[in-house]
Amino acid sequence: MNKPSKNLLQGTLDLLTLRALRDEDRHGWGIQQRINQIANDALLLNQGSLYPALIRLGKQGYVNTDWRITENGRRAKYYTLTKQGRTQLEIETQQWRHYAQTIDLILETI
Amino acid sequence: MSVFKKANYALRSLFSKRKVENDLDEEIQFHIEMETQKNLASGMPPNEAKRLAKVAFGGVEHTKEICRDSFGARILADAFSDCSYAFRFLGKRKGFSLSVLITLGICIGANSTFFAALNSLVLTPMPFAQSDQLVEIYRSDLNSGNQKLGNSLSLLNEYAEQKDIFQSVAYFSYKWMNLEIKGQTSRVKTIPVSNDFFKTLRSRPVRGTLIDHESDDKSAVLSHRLWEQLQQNSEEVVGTTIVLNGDPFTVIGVASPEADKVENWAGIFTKINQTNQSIDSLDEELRAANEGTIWARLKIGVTENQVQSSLEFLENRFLSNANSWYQENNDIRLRPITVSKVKVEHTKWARSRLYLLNGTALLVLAIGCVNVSNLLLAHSNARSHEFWIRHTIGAQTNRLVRQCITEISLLSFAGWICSLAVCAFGVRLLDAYSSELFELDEGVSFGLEAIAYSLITTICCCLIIGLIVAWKSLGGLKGSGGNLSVTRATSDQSATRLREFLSIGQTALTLALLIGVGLLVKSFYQVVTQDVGFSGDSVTTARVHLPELTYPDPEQREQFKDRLLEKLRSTAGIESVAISSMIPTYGYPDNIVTRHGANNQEGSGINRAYFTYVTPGYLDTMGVTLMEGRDFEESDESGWQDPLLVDERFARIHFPGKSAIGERINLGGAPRNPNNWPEIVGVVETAKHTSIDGSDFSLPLVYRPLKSSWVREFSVFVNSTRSTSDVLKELNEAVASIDPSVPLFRFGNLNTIVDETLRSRKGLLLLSLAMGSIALALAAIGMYGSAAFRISQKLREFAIRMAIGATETTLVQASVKRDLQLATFGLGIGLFIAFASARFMASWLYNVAPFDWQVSASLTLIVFATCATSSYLPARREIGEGKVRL
Repeated sequence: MNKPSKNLLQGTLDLLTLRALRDEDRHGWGIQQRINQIANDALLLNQGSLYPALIRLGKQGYVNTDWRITENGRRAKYYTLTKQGRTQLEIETQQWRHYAQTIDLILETI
Repeated sequence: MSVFKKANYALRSLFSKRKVENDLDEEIQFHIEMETQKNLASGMPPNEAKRLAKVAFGGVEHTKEICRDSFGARILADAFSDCSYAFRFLGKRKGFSLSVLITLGICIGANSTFFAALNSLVLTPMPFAQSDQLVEIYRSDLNSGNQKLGNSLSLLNEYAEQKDIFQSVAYFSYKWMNLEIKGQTSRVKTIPVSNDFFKTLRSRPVRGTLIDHESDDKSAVLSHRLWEQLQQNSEEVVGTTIVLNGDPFTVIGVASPEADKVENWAGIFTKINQTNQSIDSLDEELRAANEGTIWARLKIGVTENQVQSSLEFLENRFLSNANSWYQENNDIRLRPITVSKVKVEHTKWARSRLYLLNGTALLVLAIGCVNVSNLLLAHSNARSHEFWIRHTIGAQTNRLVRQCITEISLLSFAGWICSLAVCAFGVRLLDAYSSELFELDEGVSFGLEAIAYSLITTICCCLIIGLIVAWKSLGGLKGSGGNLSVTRATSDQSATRLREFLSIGQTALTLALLIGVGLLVKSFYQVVTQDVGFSGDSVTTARVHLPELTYPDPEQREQFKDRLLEKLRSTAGIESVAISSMIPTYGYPDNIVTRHGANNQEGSGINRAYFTYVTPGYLDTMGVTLMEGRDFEESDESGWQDPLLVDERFARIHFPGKSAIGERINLGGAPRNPNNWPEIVGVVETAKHTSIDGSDFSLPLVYRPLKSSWVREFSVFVNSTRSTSDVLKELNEAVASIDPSVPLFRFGNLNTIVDETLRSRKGLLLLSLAMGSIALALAAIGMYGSAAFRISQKLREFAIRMAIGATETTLVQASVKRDLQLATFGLGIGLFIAFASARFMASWLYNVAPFDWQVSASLTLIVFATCATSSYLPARREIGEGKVRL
C-alpha cells in the first residue's frame, strides 16, 4: 500500500506562510518551524522553496522585512505581515475552507 | 502598490546586486545554522547535524537561482553580463566579427536603401488634401497591347456634370514652349489646365491667386520650382508679363510645391481658354482625341468601380447615337475606360522597378543571412565544449540560448549601424538619379520609415540567425547526454547537416539571382547591339519651335524651313540635311489606319500607326533604306492626295503578300473628300524610331510629307563628317541668321540623344549587377569560410586517415567532392527557382527568353567554378601544406 502523501498542495505554501506570520513576526527558519510544528510534521515542506515564496509575498506587498538581532545574538531577516497581507490571509483562508468543503462534499457524496 | 513593490525589488536586484546577494546568502546560512543547532540539540553528531540540515534545505545554489529569478529583473541583469562576455568573445575574433558586420551592413543597407526609395516614391501618399479621393480617368487600347491613351478635353464638361459621383473634374495636358522672361529665352514645360484644376487638387497659392473660372485666358501660374529658379523668391513676380511661344501671359500667382508633382519638370500652368473648355462632347472627332489627362475628385463614399460603371453608361449611350466611324474605333470593349487612383497611375512605372530592386535586395539579404548563420554555426560548433561545461555546472539551456542571442544581437546592432551608413550613401545616390532610374521627379529621402525598416529587418535577421544557431548549437547538449568530448575527431553531425543545408540554400539563391541579373545584362546587350534601322553616328540633331504668334502664316514657316535647309546644304562638310516633325525615341503621335475600299472593322490586330512628317532626303540622312517605290520629292506636299511612305512592318500588316505601292490609306477615318485618299508611294526599312528598347508598344510607322503640313515644331538632322560641336555651331548660326529669337533645344549627336532613353535601363542594370556581384561574393566568402572551418574541425580525422594510408591529394579531393556535391544540389534548386520565376522577368526583357539557356548555363558554370575554387583553396591550404599531423 502507498504511503500517505506529505507533499504540499500546489499554491498552499503562500497561505501557510501568511498564517505562520499572523500572530508573530518571524524569520525564514522560524516560519518553517512554525508550519511543521502545527502540522506535526505531517507536511513535507521543502525548506529551500520557502525563500522564493517569501520574495513573492514581499513583492505583492503582503509582507515587510527588516533585519533584527535574535535571542541568540544572531542577525536575522524578519518578516512582518502587512495590513494588505492580513486581508489576503482572510480571503485565502475562506477560499481554502470553501474549497475543502466542496472537495469533502464530493468525496462524501459520490 | 504592489507595482511599486515589484519595481523596488527589481531595481534593488539590479542596482544593489551585491547587497541583495549578501543578504540572501546570510539568510540562507542563518537558516542552515539554526537547523544544524536543532539537530545538535536532538543529539546528532556535529557533522551529521550539519549534513542533514543541508539536505533538508535542498540545493543552496538552486534556491538562490530561483530567488534571483523571483526578484524580477533577472533577464536585464543577465543581459549586462552576457553583453560584457560577448564583447570579450567577439573582440578576440576580430576577423569573424568584421566579416559578419560587413555582410549584415551591406545586405541590410541595400534593403533599406531600396525601401527608402519605394517609400519616398511609391508608398508616400501624394501631397494633396485627401489624395485618396483623386482618380485618373483614361481609356486604353487593347489592340495596342493595352496602351494607355490620353483623354479628350471635350469630355470635361460631360464628366463635370456627374455631380453625384464627382466633387470636381480637371483636365490638363503639357507642352514644351519657348519662355521669354527678363529678355532671356528658354524652354519650359507648360501645363495648360482647366478652370477646376487647382480646386480639384485643393491646392493653395504660395503667392497671388491660382487659375479658376474668374481668371483671364492669358493667366499663368508659375510652378514653385520655376519660381525659385527664376524669381529667387522675389515678391515681384505676381503681375509681371512673360511670353510663351511669342504669346504674352500675366503671372497671377505661384503654385505650391505640391502642384509641381502633377507632371515631372512642370514649369508654368496656363489656363486653357474658355472657348476650348466649353466645346461640345457630342463631336465624334473631338471626343476621340487623346491629348490630355483627366483627374477627378470623387465624392465621399463613391468607389472607382461605381465611377467606372457610370462613365461606361455615358459612353455606351453616346456610342448608340454616334457615327459609324466612332462606333468602329471606340468600342468600349476594345478601348475600355479605366478609373484608377492618381497615385497608382503616377507611380506605375517606378513601382514595378522598385519592386524588382527590393526583391533582388531581399534575395541578397537572404544569402547574407545564410552566410552569417553558416559562419556562426561553424563557430558555435567549436564552442560546443564550452557550452557543455557551462551546462554541466548549472547553466540552464535558455540561459545559454540568451548568451548566443546576445552575441548575435551585438553583431546585428553593429551591422545595423553600418547599414545606416550604407543606406545614407545609397539614398544620396538614388536621390541624385531618381528621375533617370524611376522617371519620377521626386527626391528619395532617408526618413524615419527607412530607419524603422532597417531596424525591423535587423531584428528579424537577428532572431532568425540567433534561433537557428542557438537551436543547433545547444541541441547538442541534450543529444550528447553528457558524453560530449573535446577529443572527438569530428563536429556535431546535426549541426553539420544544417550547415550543408544552408550551403545548398545559399548556392541556390545566388544562382537564381545571378540568372535574373544575367537576363537583364543580355537584354541590355541586345538593345545596344541591335540594328535600329537608322544610323546616328554622324548625325547631329537640334529641335526648333516656331511660335504661333510670330509665325502665324504657314508660308512663313515654310520659308523658314526652306531657308534653313538651303543654308545648311550649302555649308561645307555637310553631306545631307533633313527635317522631321519627330525625333527618334521621344514619342510619336499615332492614329487609326483606314484603308480605302476595305472593311476596316477588323477589331483585332494592329490598326493604329505612328506617323511623322519628313522632308525629302530624310531617308538618306538617317540611313534608312528604301525597299520599294520612291522617296519623297520636293514637289510632294501634304493636303491633297498626300504621297505616303510606310515601313515594311506596316506593309506586312495591312497588305500581306502583295505590294503596298499604290494602295490608299488614311490616318484617322476616311477623308471627308472621297477624292482625297493619300497614296503609298514607297516602302522603307522598319526602323526603331519610336522605342529602341521595346519599353513602348511599337506600332508601324507612316511618313508624311512635311511640306505644307501644320508642323511648327521640328527636328533638323544633319549628316556630316564634321564634329558634332562644329555642326551645332553651324546650325546655331543658320537659325540665328534667319530669326535670332528662335532657340535650339534637344541638340547633340543623335546616338547620344537616343542613348539617353536607355539611362533608366542602364541604371537598373548597374544596380542589379551590383546586387548580383554582392551575392556572388557573399556566396564565395561563405563557402570559403565554411570549408576552412569544416576542415580545421576535421584535422584529427584527416590525420588518422593519413596514418592508415590516405594521401594529401585524396583528402583534398574528398573535401572538395563533398562541397561540389552540395553545390550541385544547390545549382539544381537554383535553376528550378529561376525557371519557376521566369515569368516575373518577362516584362523586363528585350529579345531574350525569360528562361534563356545560354545565360542559365554560363552562370551555372560560373557559380560552380566559384564554389569549386572556394572549396579547393582552403582544403589545399589546410591539408596540402603538411599541416595534418597526428
